[in-house]
Amino acid sequence: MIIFYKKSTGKIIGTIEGRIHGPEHKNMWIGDRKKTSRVIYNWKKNKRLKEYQPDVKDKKQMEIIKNIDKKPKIVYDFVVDTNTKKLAKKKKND
Amino acid sequence: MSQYTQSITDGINDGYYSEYTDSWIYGSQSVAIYGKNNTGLENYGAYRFTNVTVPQASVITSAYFRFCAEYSGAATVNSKIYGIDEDNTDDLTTDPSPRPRTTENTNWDIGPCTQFTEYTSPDIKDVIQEIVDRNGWVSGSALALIFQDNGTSNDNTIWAFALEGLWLTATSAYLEINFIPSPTKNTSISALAYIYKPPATMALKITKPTYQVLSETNPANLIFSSDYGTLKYFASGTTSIFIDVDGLAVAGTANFEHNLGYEPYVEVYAKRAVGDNYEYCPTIGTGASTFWTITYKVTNTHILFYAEQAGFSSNITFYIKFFIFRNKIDL
Repeated sequence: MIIFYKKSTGKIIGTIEGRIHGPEHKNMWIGDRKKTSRVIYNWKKNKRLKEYQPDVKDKKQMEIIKNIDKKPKIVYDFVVDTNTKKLAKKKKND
Repeated sequence: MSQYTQSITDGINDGYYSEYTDSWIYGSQSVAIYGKNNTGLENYGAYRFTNVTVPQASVITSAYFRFCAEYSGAATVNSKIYGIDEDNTDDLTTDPSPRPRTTENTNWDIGPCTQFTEYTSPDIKDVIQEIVDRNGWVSGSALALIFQDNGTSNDNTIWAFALEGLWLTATSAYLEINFIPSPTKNTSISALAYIYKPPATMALKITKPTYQVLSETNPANLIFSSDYGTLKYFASGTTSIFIDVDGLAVAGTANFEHNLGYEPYVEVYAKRAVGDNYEYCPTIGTGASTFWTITYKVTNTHILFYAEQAGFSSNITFYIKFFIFRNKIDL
């Protein structure tokens, strides 16, 4: 999944769904390129577990992405931390 | 439909058993198709055909043997034509009668004959079929036919010109096989379909009949191509349109930059609230005193989403879900 968010607030404004994103997906954008940024989450095969999983090292992030993969609409319950570029649960005032 | 034909061109490929010499004779000027002397001793002939280009397990639709009569006469014979049941039978420098014979055979009552006249057997396709059905049979092998008794009376023998005895209008023995070739066993795909590997993924291309699948690129001549020319799901995504009603805005926009370089076919769905069902766009909705509409426009580079409202008293967000289908056609 590719998540687009506002640079200033981290608010998620759009997504491109999928587990593998090739060059054509990477040429796509949502929102104003000057005001938005993106995070790309590809999946790859874990050789030990012999299954595909998000290609991130942080286990908590991995679980969040797996949950979003199962229920894509919950992505808007999260924001992107503009410093760490990690997904975080949206606070009440976000 | 395919055909194999051959005439005897080598004296080692026709011969007969002579009751007179009690021996096998080849390379002579004549061959006894079949016959019996006055005491019932047999003459029987055999013919071998080489390089029989019939693939294994082909369907034999018809087959005929033909000889040219060496003499005119009243003789009649009742014969059976068998095949030599071997994968690639040897030449006829030796008597082939000890070799295994096919189960299938064809009756042929011959005569009386007229010199220099060609006589064609009944259809011997079952005999040929049994040979080419052999597991060890391969195209290009040799097969042979042998004539046996089927109730011939004594003192009747039919003679054919052998290769070495041809003169005037005489012709050598001849075999014709008509067949439907069996499919060749290889790992290639049908000529009309081809699976190829583009840089990232497997792909499939199928052309309409008569077009060469390996070189054809015109989508008008394709039945299916995962590369382009056919409507296929390509990408999906979500976005939202926020209308600042508090700020007295009546409309809002969002855009998706696809950068495909052409206008793809898209499907857009929208809903007003998180719990609502998505509706196919363009869509309109009304409430007691509210109205909203959501639509979109596709360009070569973008999908532009537009929402408009009336009567709402607070900010509103419309959630968009879109699907892009690959349908680039260089028409």
